[in-house]
Amino acid sequence: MELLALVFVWPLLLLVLGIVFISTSDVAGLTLVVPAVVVFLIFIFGLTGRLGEADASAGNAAEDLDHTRRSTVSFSIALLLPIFVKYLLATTQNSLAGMILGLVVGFGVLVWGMFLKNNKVLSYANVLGGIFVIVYLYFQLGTLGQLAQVIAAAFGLIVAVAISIIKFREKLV
Amino acid sequence: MKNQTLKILFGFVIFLFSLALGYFTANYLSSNHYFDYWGTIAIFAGAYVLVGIIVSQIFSISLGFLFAADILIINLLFQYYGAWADIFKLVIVGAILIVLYISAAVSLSDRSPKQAVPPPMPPPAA
Repeated sequence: MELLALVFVWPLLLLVLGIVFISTSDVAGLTLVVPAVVVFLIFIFGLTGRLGEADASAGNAAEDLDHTRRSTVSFSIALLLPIFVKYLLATTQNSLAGMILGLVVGFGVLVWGMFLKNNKVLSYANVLGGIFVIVYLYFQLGTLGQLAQVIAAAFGLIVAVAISIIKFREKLV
Repeated sequence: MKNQTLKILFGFVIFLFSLALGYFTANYLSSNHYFDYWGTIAIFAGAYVLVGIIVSQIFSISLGFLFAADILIINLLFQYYGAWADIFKLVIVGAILIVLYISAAVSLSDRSPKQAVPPPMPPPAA
């Protein structure tokens, strides 16, 4: 079983990466593929030692491969989350329910990433993916009807305020 | 030449030739109106995945076929992905996200310095 996992992990990662870039070009055209590649390179070269590797400074090939695997998974999740929400909105024909569901997903993964411990791969992916989702949904608010815009904006505001109260409250000792 | 390098070399050669076989066969069959180009590519991709799974004991062959299948599948997706219904794309992206989350949670949690991957040891001097 372990042997199978070892053999399949890199072909699967390459396939996932291919699907990430194809989905990105499907969602936003080829113009967004270049920034996506830049973000991927930042994950590979800019986050060395920050994704929970044991010893990033060791510099041996096995550690480099481990970092590349972690970066690829983290990047793929971060980019697939807004794409998932985009398809969710398209499937529900930009309805208020789809928007609320998207906001729940966005804020959900963001909070999950903020509170997550011992898994920096998921932490980075969720925080970045959650931010992408929320920014995307914010710019999609204009496509809703007037009342739906008010409801969606209020929902987003309430959730953001609630998270801030829970997470960032200063303790007066 | 080291055995490891030879494995990679042969894996790369298998990858290149399996890709060439897939594309050239698809070209030949479609230009002679025997079979659809993309249908042939899909059949080759499926066959390569199967072969890659069956011969997983031999890394170079398995990886060569699996990476070739990757390229064929990505090419197929690039051709047809835009035409699919949004609900189908939603299901695919959702499924991939679930797989990624599970693999990240199971095998990519933070490691302590004690768990560092050791560098390969040099062979003992004769």
